[in-house]
Amino acid sequence: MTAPRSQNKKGLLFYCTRLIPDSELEYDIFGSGDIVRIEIPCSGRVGIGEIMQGIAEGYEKVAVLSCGEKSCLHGFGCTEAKKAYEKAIKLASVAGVDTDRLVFIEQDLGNSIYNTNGLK
Amino acid sequence: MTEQERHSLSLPEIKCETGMLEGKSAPDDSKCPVAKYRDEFVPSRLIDEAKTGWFPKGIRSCIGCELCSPSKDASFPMCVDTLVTAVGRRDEFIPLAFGGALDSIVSLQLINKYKQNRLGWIDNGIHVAGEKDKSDVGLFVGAAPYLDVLLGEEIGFNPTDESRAAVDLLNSIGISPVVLPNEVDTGADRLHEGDSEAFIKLGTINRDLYKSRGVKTIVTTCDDCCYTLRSRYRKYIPGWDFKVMRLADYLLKFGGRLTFLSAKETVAIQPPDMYTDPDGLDSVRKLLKKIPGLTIKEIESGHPSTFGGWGQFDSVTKRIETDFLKAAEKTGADTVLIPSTTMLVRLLEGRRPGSWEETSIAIKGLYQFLSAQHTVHEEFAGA
Ligand code: SF4
Repeated sequence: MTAPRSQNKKGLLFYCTRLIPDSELEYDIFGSGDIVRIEIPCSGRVGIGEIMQGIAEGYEKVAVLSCGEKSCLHGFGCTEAKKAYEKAIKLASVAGVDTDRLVFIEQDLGNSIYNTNGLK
Repeated sequence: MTEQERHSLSLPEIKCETGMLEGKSAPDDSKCPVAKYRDEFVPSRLIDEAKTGWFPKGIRSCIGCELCSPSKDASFPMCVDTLVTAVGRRDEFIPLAFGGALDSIVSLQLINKYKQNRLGWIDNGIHVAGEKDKSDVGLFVGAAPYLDVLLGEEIGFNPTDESRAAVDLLNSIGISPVVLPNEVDTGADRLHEGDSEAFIKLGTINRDLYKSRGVKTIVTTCDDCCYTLRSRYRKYIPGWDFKVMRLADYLLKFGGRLTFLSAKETVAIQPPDMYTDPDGLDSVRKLLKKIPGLTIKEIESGHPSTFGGWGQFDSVTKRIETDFLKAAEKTGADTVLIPSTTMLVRLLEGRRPGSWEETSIAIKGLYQFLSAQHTVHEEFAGA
């Protein structure tokens, strides 16, 4: 899986196939403007490489929408995605990239936990 | 150039200073560590393939160790560089380490607008030249700050610990080196992919940054960086006229007053080879000989002193790495000292739980080892 070139799109959203990204949440993250959505079988498939590639390709924001730890069908997807996100935040910070450009959203039964700067 | 055209090379137009494409010199296949594990990889056959005018794809498996090169002037890796840059970037799959994360960092560096935060490892115990100060000596740190993030936790070692040790050793001989806050990758992996445009841009950024700080000599703790800065930059980056040295060579030449505490240990080191020590200085051994009580054992020759670029993280290099550690164990030493950060990271990475061949010899970075052993001269204390 590779992040497509941004072609001036505002955002890149990786989302687990078991979730439906809602427009309000998308607006909260990206504001107005075009976004590219990539549906993945499990958020655990989004690695640090995909997140960083999205940034390098020029997306203003790169977000991962994951099922919560409790609702992850595979049990480990959310944990793996969080690990990748945490590392991506650190890498972006060393690279001098504004870490607010990376977003992680964990959704359990309609409740979203929305992070931009490290996980709580 | 179309993809079809790019697959086929026009031999008469490709000049290779090694003379290999003209048949004036040939690699010694029997010395190649990759050929040992990859049957279809035979260096001289790849040259023959190139002579037919087609790009020998298999050449990308060369780890660039120089073991097969007949002489300094007939370097097989330099011939590989000539071929991959002649053919350019192609749409074939080239593996990227860490899912491409490191490559994306390079892409961000190429944009050249971000202010990196890569000096977090510099603490109050060491001294580097102030951001506006000039110094003759620069320390090239490479990808170490990024590798701290990518692998530090997993391997229990931060690659910048070697950079810190380097500054400490330089301080001990009265030097506060320039460490560039916005240094960029050497670009060696990009060159290997055939992206010479990116390679030249990265080299040009590094050149301008060092020039602006008055640097004349660049030292490194990484033999892969040293090789690229010394051999490839000279060829591809106009105006690259810095003296590039391994830190061990520099310390041996200018660190005459460096003294060490005694150590009752047996360590294994690799014998010098053309990749790390083209001038046969044997600095690592000579430096270690200054440590009273230390027993130095030499690993049998024939093992490469590089495992290739970050994209060459495959089963073949894993076997080569394991072979190297087994040979180090055979010396009976307690510890193998590695004078190159990338090689050190690769070996420690392979040592992670689940590694498919067990080895037990301790692996340490040469510069951390030296830094822990050196004594402080009063006039340099707090230099
Ligand atoms: S440089 Fe090393 S890996 Fe490449 S062909 Fe020669 S011996 Fe083999």
